[in-house]
Amino acid sequence: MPIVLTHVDLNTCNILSDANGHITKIVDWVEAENRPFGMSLFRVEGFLGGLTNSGYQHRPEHDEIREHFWDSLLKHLGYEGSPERSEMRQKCQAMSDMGVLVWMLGSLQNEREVNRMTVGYLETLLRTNP
Amino acid sequence: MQLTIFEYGGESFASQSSNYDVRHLRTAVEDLAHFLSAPFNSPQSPNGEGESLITRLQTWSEWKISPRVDAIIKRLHKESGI
Repeated sequence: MPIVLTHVDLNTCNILSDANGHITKIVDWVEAENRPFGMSLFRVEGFLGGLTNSGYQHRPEHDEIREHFWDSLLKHLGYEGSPERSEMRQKCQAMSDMGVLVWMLGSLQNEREVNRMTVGYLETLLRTNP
Repeated sequence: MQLTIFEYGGESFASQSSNYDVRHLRTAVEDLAHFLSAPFNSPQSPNGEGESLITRLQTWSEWKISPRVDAIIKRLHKESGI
């Protein structure tokens, strides 16, 4: 994957939108850095659910919207209808999961901070099958 | 260089998301896909970023918090091409 400028803190609080859902601005670029393409793709999960007292909960329509995201992404990358579409998606998914692992590592100081809810959240965000 | 943001130019997605229906969410993820795909065709010169990430991921392997996470990291090492 190419090394690209990456917004490292792309949570939904840093995504400004209008009343129709259109994204109007992306803010807080303080931590932006060069990373392999795809490491922020997992941020779509912020649109598909959220953390509650009992852990991460998906919206009922999360599968449909996630697939719409991947269709849109691969179209923009030029892989719509391409025989290499599936392989590209797999590569993007791998980089997205790497993004999840690096992001969560950044918020944990040591092994003792990893509790059951953290593991559950982490496993929910990771989409690659072992 | 660190820039200070004095004023947000609108409402964040997080503050509006509870009001959104499926149509709005589809619009939002379309725009997100467009934004995230944009840098793909403007690559930067590599400067050891991949190696640095592999080193950071090694911490998860050392912590051994979850067999599934360990298995995914093993697969990522193989498939990421880093």
